[in-house]
Formats: sequence, C-alpha cells, structure tokens
Amino acid sequence: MLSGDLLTVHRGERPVLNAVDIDIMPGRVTAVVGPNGAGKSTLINALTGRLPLVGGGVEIDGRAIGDFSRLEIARRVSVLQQQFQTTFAFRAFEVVAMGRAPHERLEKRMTAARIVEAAMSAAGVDHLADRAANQLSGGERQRVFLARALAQIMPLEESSPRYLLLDEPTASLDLSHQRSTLAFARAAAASGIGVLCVLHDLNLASRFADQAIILADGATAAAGKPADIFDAPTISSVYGDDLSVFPDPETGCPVILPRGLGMDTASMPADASLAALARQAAQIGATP
Amino acid sequence: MTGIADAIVGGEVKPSIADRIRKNQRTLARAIAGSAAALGVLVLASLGLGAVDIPPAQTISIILANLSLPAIAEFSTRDELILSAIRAPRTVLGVLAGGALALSGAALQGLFRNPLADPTLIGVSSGAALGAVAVILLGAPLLVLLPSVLQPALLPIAAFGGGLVAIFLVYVIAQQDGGTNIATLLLAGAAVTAIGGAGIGLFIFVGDDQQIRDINFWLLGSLSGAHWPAIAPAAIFIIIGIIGVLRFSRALDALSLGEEDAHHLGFEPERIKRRLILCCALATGASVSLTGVIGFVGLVTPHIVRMLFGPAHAALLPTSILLGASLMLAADIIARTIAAPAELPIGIVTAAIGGPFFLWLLMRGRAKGGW
Repeated sequence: MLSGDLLTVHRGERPVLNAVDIDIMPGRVTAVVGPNGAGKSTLINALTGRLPLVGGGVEIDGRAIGDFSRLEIARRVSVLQQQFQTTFAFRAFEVVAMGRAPHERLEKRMTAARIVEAAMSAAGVDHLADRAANQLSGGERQRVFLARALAQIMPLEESSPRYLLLDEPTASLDLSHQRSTLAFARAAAASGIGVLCVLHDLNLASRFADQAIILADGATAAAGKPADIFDAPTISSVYGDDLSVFPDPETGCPVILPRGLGMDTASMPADASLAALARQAAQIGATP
Repeated sequence: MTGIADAIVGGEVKPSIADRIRKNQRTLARAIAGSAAALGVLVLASLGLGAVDIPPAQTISIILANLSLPAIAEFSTRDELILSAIRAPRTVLGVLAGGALALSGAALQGLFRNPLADPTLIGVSSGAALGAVAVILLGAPLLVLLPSVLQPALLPIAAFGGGLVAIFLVYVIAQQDGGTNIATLLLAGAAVTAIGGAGIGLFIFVGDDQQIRDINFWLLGSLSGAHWPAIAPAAIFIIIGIIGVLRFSRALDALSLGEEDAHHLGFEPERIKRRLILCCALATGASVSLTGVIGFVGLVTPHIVRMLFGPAHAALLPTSILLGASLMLAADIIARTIAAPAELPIGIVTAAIGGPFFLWLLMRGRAKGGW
C-alpha cells in the first residue's frame, strides 16, 4: 500500500495541501477529484517526494519513503503527468525505454527490450515505435507516455507491489480515448498495480473508481466509495448549488450534471449579465 | 489493446524492440568510430600542414619515434622540432578546446531543453573575456610583481577566474524556491554577458592601439598561443569537465522529458543541473582561457550529430567531443593556411562557416514546423 498520512504541503506561506490522508491499495483504482486548484497534482507530487512535506508522512508498503533511495522509489512508483515534454526527436520506443532508467544497472539490455515491448503492446502503441515522439498527436503521445510509466514499474511481482499515479489522464482526450485510457488503468489494477487517478470528470470517477477522495481547498471534503460520497449535499458543498445528482439508469452510479444549462434558459443565473453584455456589444457596433 | 497480464505473461514477445535497441547500439559504435576516424585524419593534417609541410608518413614516424617505436619513414630533425614545439601543442589545444566547447554545447542544450543553447549563453565566455581583457589592459604592473614562470599564466588564470565568477553569479541569481529556474538562468546569462560586453567595450575605449589589437585578437579567438606549460593545467580542468559531463547521458535523456518526469524516473534534477553546469563551466572556462572566444563550435556541432545519429545522449555526447575537435582543427587549418603567412583569427573562420550553416538549420527547422 502506498499511503499518505496527514499530508501537508505549503507553497511559500500558503497551505496547498492540508492534512490529507490517502491509501492507494494494490489492485484498486483510487480517484482524486475536486475543483481546479484543490491540490490534486500537489497530492501526487507529495506522494512521490517531489515536494517537501510540512507535516505528515508517506509510506510505501509500511516503510517510510525517506528510507528509500530515489531509484528505489522510481522502481515502485511511476507517474503520468498532465503534460508531456518532448524536446528532441526521440522516437517513441526510446521514450518508453527511458522508463527502464531506474533499473539500468540491474538488468540486461535485452530484458529491458522485452519489457519495453510488453508495455508498448499493453498501451497499444507498438505501431508507433519508430515515430518521433514530438510529432505524435496528443492522444498518441499520451499512450506512449502511459507505456513509459508502465515499463518503469514492470515486472509486476506480488511480493513488491507497484503503483501508477495518473494526473488527469483523460483531460483533452475525446470520449473513445478517455474510455481506452481508463480501461488501461483498470487493466493495470487488475494485474495488481495500485492506481491513483486524478480526474476532473466526476461521472468518469463515479463509473470506474473503487475509491474516491474529493479535495477542496487542499483538504479532504469526503472519502469513500464513489456511490457513497457523490451525493447532492457533498457535491454541492464543493462545486456549488447548480448541480443535479441522480442515479445512472444503467449502473446505478451517481451521475452529476450542471443544472440550468440548455433550452431552459430562464433558470440561468448568468442571464441578466449576458443580456447586458449583448446590449453593450450592440451599442459599440459589434454583432452580439 | 491487450491486457497487461497477457502482454507480460502469455504474450509472444516479438524481437522488434530488441532489434531496435541493438540497432541503436550499432549506431553508437558507428558514430564514435566514424568521428574518431575523421579526427585522426584532421590531427595528421593539422600536424602536417603549415608554412613547412610535413607529409603524413613523416608525421606518423615522428610520433612513433617519440613513443620509442620504430619509424616507418625518414624524417629531418627540423621537421621533428616544428612538430613537437609548434604543431603538436596547437593540435592538442584544438582537440581539447573543440571537444570541450562541443560537449558543453550538447550538454547545455539537453539541460536547458533548448536547441539554441551553447556555452556562451550562460555567461562563462563573457566573464572569461572580461578577465582576459582586464589583464591585457591593466596587467602590466601586476606582471612585474609575479615570478617569471607565472607571467604567461596571468592571462589564462584571469580568464578562467572571470568565467567562473560569471557562472557563479548567474547560478546564484537563478536560485528560486530551492531549485534552479532555467528561464531565469538563461536571462541572467544574457544579462551577465551584456555587462561583460560593456566592460570589454570600456577597456577598448580607453586602451592604446597595441592593446586594442591584442584585445581584438583575443576576442576573435586563436590557437596560436598554444605551448605546453599553459596547456597542461588547462587540460586537467577540461578532462575533469568532460568526464563529469559524460556520466550524465542517461540523465540528460530523461531531462528531455522535463524536470518532473526526470524526478519521477529516479533522477535528482537539482543535483544534475548543479554538476553539469559546474563541469561545463570548468571545461569551457579552461578552454576559453587559452584560445579566446571561439563561437559556433559549441552551438552547431551537437546539431550535426543529432542529424546524423539521433538525439540519444549516449551517442551525442562522445560524438560531439570527437566531431567538435575535428571541426576546430579544420577551422584552424583554414585559418592558418588561407592567408599564409598571415594567420586569421579562428573565430572568424568558425563564424563564417557556422553562421550560414546555422541559418540553414533555422530555415530547415521552420520548414519542418519548428524544433
């Protein structure tokens, strides 16, 4: 288990994470949701030791993170960031092979090649192997980096669990790519990896996570099974009142949608100001 | 998409990635062998060409004789003297300086994730130039105080010191939130370079004609000042710097994905940045202190290597050393033969060739939709 206990992180004097508890269990998908600036990415960086903690501690399988070297942490915990930098024209398989860097002194080159191969096939990017990573489309690049993150924590052994932390892996992806990315995360969990997934989309979190944490202003607003914590009072207290929560007719999971958008414009609170804006635009000669 | 478990356990593993990695290994071997061969030829040319031409057979024989090996051809004492006292130190200095500048360029481009970075960008060259120019203009009273063995060392020491002071300033200014901010570092490098330029301009303004000639000659760079007593200490710094940088090829690969990804891959970006900048400053500072400012070798060489052999630093770094050394020797051969018996400053040659080449790179980069 990768666990954060009362994690507290400051940026300058400002607290950005305040006494947050989190447990990432092998074989489970834990979703972290919350508004922009709630501390979701900070939580990932706190869990990997990237950010210094003001309070609290991180343990990997019962041992304090400080007892591990950076390389030892990297062999167990890998991270998919929101943004992918590719400065030079490295080819896709070279990017995936960089995932083996923490193991370099421990394995033969051909073992690494086999793992890279397996990770690329699991992420469905075999066919991109020789393409320059900086020329791939956003979706393709994301899958190449997913393969890299997976390659980093293979091979999977029961004795020493692995963890995969995904920071908004579905942002800026179309529906079918969102689906396949989350299917990848589920498959990773099914093979014993502990998966943490930061998500913006509450409905995706509701459908596919085993556990969820709602962060608001750097603190835990609720934690538990999505079906239990994604209720109207909790969601409204975090995201505001103009949301409706109802059960998914297919699965019974909570569905959360903004209220008052669409044809029913009379109920839109922003109506008046929008109308004023249209009038002003007309006055200065522009077409509203 | 296949299940992960399938891919790992049951999946029939195709040989293709292994093949690709083997092919990369072969590319690495080819890159090093090819550029080493080019360097070998240029070393012979650099030793042989000049006011008195020494044919390759004689050149090789003189080298062999000095290693107490049987010579393959007759050679004259005059040729041996020219070679060991003039050409050899000059060639060694060219190899060291070219290698140091090109390797620093490759490492800094990787570190800053910016294909336009080179050693002049972080202020080292400018600081070194200011130190050297100050000695040319104000050093005369100091020289009298020094024992005669140290007198010729004053200028290189001042240049080396000036380079280190500049990089130290730039590095300290770029410290932010316990880390080094790369954008601030580059901007601080530009500012320190400008300040150094102002100082040099002022010295030129107050200098007399001879001093201005000396300053200009130094600012344009030259290998003509090469002699063994000065090369030996500089060589130590350059070799320390080069060995230090070569250890970071994996880390530089990872840094191309950004500092955070490098961290998540188990590297320590802060430590790497510190060491790389220090090593590059040592190698560049020591080289500039003997040759003056020589542009474009550090900027252009890594680009040529990437175009030929790809961006992986395991091949890029050693090949840049060998090819940078080759380019430096080629430029020096041109510099001292094109207007013989007069000698052009080498910086003019590297800039005259490197400038247009770089413009071509820029246009090519633009045509391909950026870097």
